[in-house]
Amino acid sequence: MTELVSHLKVWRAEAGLTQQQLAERVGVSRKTINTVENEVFVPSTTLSLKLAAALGATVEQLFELSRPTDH
Amino acid sequence: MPLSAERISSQRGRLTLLNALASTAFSFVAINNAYEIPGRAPAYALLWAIWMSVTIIWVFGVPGWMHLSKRDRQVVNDELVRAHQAKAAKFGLACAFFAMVFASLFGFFHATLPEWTLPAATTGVVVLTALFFARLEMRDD
Repeated sequence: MTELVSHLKVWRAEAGLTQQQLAERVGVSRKTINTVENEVFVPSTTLSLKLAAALGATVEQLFELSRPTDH
Repeated sequence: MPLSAERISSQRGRLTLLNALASTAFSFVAINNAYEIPGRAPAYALLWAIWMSVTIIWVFGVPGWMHLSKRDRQVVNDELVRAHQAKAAKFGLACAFFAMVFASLFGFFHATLPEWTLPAATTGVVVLTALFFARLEMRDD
């Protein structure tokens, strides 16, 4: 099964932002940022674009698909 | 002092859990008294209906909407919460379905169901839905 791999935590740390600060920039709760970073929750396209814009990155830099396993 | 959007968001799971437990206790008392003390039945029934409605609104509504700005309401009801609400709705619907199937099967073997069956089943569905939502909210906190 293909899973979404999140690099959000790395990009947020490089931007010097806390989860709360990033949450306020994109208009969601800190909990939502935490679940996206921990790959518990897959964000919508809209939120992904907002996160990318807030961190000066592209959506592809923040997220990627893991390679599906053969078995 | 009104709660901030972020505080509502982080405490929503715990408050929902507490309300679900209180709802169970109150429903037991209200349903029992409504049939034991006939004169008070309308008052208990009304209080029970209000409490159940508040519990469901707390799960599927936007807590604190009256004092929150539009942006804060979006934070309180962001896409993670909406995903949890969708899962809770699916779970609640399944509970309601099985409760009705069970009540129907029971009805086949007994001419009449006990009069408390419907309010008890409603309480069960509301409380289980609230507990399911609370678990999701607290797990991701």
